[in-house]
Amino acid sequence: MTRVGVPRGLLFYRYFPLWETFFEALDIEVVPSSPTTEETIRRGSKLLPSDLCLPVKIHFGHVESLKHKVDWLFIPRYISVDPDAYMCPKLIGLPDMVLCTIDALPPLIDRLIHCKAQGMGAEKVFYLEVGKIFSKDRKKVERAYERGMERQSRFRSLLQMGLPFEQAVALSRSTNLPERPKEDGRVKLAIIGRPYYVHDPFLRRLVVEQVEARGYQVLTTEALSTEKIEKGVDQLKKRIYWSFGKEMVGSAMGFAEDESIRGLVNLASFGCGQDSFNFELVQHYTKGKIPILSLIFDEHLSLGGFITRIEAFLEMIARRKNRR
Amino acid sequence: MKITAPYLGMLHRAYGPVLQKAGVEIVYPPIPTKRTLDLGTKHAPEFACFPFKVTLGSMIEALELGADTIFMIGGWGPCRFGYYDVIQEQILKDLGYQFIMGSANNPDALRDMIDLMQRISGSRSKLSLYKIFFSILIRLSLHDWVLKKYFWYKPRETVSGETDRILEKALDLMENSVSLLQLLKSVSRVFLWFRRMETKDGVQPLRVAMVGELFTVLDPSANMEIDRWLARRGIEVLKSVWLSDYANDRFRFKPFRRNQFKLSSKHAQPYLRFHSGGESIESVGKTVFYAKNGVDGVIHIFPFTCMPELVAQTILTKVQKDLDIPVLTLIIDEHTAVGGVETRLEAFIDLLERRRRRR
Repeated sequence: MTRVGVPRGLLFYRYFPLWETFFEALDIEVVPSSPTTEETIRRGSKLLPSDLCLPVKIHFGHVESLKHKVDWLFIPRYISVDPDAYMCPKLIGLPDMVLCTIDALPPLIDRLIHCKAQGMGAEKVFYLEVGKIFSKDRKKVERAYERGMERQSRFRSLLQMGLPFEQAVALSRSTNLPERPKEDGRVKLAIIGRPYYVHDPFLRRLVVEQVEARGYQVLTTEALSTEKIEKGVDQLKKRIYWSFGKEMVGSAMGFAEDESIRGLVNLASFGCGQDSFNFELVQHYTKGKIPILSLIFDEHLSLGGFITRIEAFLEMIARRKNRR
Repeated sequence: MKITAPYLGMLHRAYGPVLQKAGVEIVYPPIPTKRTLDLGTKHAPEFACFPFKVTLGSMIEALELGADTIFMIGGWGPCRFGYYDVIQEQILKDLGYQFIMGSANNPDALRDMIDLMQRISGSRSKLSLYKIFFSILIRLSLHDWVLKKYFWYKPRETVSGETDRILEKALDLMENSVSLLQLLKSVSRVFLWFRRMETKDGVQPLRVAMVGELFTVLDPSANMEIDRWLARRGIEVLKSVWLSDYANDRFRFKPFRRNQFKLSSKHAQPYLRFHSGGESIESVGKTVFYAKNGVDGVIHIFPFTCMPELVAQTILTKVQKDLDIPVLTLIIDEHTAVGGVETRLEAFIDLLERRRRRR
């Protein structure tokens, strides 16, 4: 059976269920790389100029570890998935960057998605194009795409319920969704960050798990519906033209309106161009409404520094709550 | 109404005379200094790129001088530049300044640019605005032409400093030529000045190309005039981006100049197959082009945290190996010091000279 490798980085944390089901329906074995470790980061940092952001380095580390194990590598070019927003320039150039830095690669699946130029149908066209590589049967590819989309929407609603990434991936396989977990009275905090900051188990350990271990419930940007996010974005003077920027700023504005959420933790990657602007907007539009903690990480991840700041922030929130 | 706009290379010399003739009051911000950058850095987000900080500083200084309308182009990404105007307006308004921020909905479309000018100027007729817009573009391309001449003649001059004198005289003359006819007359005079210059015979100076992000390649406050520095050292400097080319790619006012974006895309094809914002395609494409056309070395210059140029930087590591062309990467931020840059440039020039001798 043909084996397609999927590096466990960047958009993996947004689209993996869709990719997996799509390829499996075409009788292709999907091989994700193993979860991020320090070794992954070390490998990625070695390959790339030092100023690139950590998520890209992690992605490259995964590509490097996966390249000998598979027949194809799935590194699509995501240019835009919204009619009015781009992805990050680094994602747009991703397949080219991989080809220029890593040797001895298997063939890449690097078709492009460009909804801004081609309309929302571009996503389907992309999957049909990818499917064409492996199957001549167009009907079969279309069915695979539909099944993938169904699973993806189940996956998104599971994330919206607040399940962790791994659980959501596993549970989205079956068509019966579990019931929404009951409110357990824990204090809620929202984490504003891209899916590949929030769901990567290696980075999760630094922030999300620390907050949860101290008895708080964590909400991610995926907990809000698209409509709520769009409502936030509409209040901006000019709509942000980055998909994740929209999600981060829109959801921060949504969370700030919600009385039950006590604080925001803004995650950003060192040297991330977009996050610098997003955070400026988040600060401006939530001023006086909700406390914010801004955390920036790079490849020198030290747990101690994160814990100190998170604890101070949580204490401040607890004191605010008592005062009210 | 007092209009101001941050500096970008020679742009102010192009719009200044045209707008003054049209009766617009312009407030030029002071030439960017350490204070400008400090002001910008203080109020900008930490990881905002260098051009953002300089232009923000310039805006503050211009507002202090009494400007009430700021002109900042805007755009729709994926580079951060398109969102500058919004964040800068937000920061400045939070600081308590009162002003109007003029930005185009889509600066790549001629109609939107004219709309923007109409919005700012009030009641002027469309026709006169088109006339103003294209006279700015013509001036822009004539300035670029003079600068290109300067960079060709400077390393070949026999009387030290002659080219600099001609350049100064030429820019003054062009600035004082109000009508189009006068302007063309002065340009033909400048042409003759250059033609009559004595040049060294049989000297083939080193050729170094500057590629990278538009602002850092063109603006002296960002590149610390390394272009002039190299020229003084007898090196012919080429640049991958010029403002007139940038405008010409969008508004097609120079019928005989090729679309530089398409040209770069063609050359970049084996390495970067899709434009990833900013000047990434120009940086990669022009480097390939220069390598094939006997340029000795390439300086890739861009601001710290510039997203598109980081893509280009990653790809250039492969280009320089494949095509055997040395690339020096210079990353500019508010802490960059002239001394450090010059040391690296000197080492780079030594390397290029040795390569030249070996051939």
